[in-house]
Amino acid sequence: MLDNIKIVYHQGKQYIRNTSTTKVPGIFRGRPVISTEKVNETELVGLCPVDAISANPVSIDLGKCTFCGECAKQFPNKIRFTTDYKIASNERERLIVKEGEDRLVEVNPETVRNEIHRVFGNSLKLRQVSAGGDGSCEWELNASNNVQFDMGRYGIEFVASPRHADGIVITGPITENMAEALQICYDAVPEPKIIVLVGTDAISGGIHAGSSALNRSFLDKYPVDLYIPGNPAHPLTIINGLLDLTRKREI
Amino acid sequence: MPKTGLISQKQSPITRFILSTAMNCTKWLLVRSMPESLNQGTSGLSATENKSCISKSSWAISTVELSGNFWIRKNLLQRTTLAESIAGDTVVGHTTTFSHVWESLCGIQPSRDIEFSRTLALEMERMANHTGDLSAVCADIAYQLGNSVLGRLRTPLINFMQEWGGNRLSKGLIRPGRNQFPFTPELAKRLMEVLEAYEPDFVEMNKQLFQLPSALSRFERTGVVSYDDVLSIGTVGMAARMSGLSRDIRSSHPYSLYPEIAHEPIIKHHGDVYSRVQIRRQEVMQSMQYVRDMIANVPEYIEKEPVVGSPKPNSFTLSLVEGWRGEICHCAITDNSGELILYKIKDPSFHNWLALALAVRNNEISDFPICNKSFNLSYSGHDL
Ligand code: SF4
Repeated sequence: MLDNIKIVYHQGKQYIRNTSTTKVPGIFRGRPVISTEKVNETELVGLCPVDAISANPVSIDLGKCTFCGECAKQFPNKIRFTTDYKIASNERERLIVKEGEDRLVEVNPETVRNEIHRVFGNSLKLRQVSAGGDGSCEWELNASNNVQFDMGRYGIEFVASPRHADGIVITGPITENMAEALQICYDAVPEPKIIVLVGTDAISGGIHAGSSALNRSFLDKYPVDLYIPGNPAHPLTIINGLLDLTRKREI
Repeated sequence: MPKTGLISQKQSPITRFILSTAMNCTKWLLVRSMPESLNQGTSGLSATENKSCISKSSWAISTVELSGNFWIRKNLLQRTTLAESIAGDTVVGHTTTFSHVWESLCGIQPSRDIEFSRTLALEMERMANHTGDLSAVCADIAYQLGNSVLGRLRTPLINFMQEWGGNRLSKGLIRPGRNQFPFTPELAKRLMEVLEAYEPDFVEMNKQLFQLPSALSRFERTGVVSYDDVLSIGTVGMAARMSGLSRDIRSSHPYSLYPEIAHEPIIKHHGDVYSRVQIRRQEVMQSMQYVRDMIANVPEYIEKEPVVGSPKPNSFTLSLVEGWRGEICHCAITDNSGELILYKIKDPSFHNWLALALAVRNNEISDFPICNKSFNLSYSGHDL
């Protein structure tokens, strides 16, 4: 007993007090900023492994970007990744960062469905479906609930059954073999419910986009409520995204 | 490629595979000139005459689906990105294996600083995953303190990887032929601090966990797989070492900086959950020592142009790396223009899933979670 108390004491304070203002250590690759400098755009567009960069004007689609950092390495004056981890949005177009714009990627409160604030504002239980994911976004979702990030303090938790859930969180590029299971899981969640896509793979297929092993028809059928980019998405991106979607007030 | 040697059951399946391949290299060359047949998975293994190690059907699946991806994604960065997403918790393991394949195909000798980064990152990945898994095992025996403390101890390790390479799971860190994020003396100092803070808490928590009767009674004699069983099903890595079978690529086929480290595998003999958690605990301490020794002597990085070559035509290459779960194997064959005609990936989970199936026999259903977590196999890698 005393030993246990000693262990607890030795941990000190682990939780991140403010999950929306804390700084991430080191050289995290978060929201990119694109300058207006003139560069060889064909070369820039061509180097991206997932066609996330478009030319004229130069823009990066965070829903496709794998955050490999290659563009910033080759064109350091053109593209710079900031440590801003708040890059989730409920609108797909908002994930596209354009040159010359240093604009935050945010949830647009106007287009959030009404019932989301009302029903899920204080408590949100989610069922996670790994639809062909590589395990990295799943690890980060897990980490969101550890004692440091402690998403549970906001009433957001993962549950073991879709029957207990208010929505589903999809990771992975949605493979053919998981398409039916995903549908069954979604159907088992009671209304009203939300769909959250976590990670580049889920949002666009990422590096697997266009593969014949995928079946993304699920996403054509239902509106997506939140896109959380990243490869994998950082726990702080996940937490802030979910909070921005479900709460009106600042935490 | 190993020297000559007799193929025996004691060697891991992959070692046997290489040996038999080496012995049949003339046949391989014959096969290589018939790429269509490899494509259909019809003759890939008849060339090795070793049907017990990788079945024909798995070969066929991998050839069609995965190498398919490697063919479509032609540029090197795309292929590296694919290698990164084979198993999200073994990013360093798989990208290092891929890089070795690529460098070998192109005839590039990576410089010391590159191999230093890979070795260091591999050991960090091992520590982070073992810590996380010990936490998960605690969760499954409802030991909240161990779960929270060990769970939070994984964070400083992966956060350090972010400080180094910008990504908590090391994506973007390892690249063929170049040092994307050179390891600096400042990073070494920082890592020293991280380990200074990590070690006492890890040791203290484990001391408590490993003397707790309620924990030990759940670990001991739960989920046992015997030496004979692991030998016959061909498990690798920790799932072999738990039952007295010494399989560790770091010592049997040392690569990167491992020849200097002279690694001694940690072996247990009971094949139960207890053996598996003990291995994890001890491997964390061992890796920590390796990391400390390495960062005491960081090789100088001299800025240089990345070496990019192109794969040699008509070549076969095979690369082995000891990931934290066990041996990772990638193998590639090029055609006469140097383009890949086959790329085969084997994650350690491929062999080890059967061990989990054997482990859960005759156990209570409530012991399934700890059996599962004590192995923690990759759900995205087993059917490669
Ligand atoms: S960081 Fe994103 S946009 Fe830049 S090259 Fe990599 S994937 Fe493309």
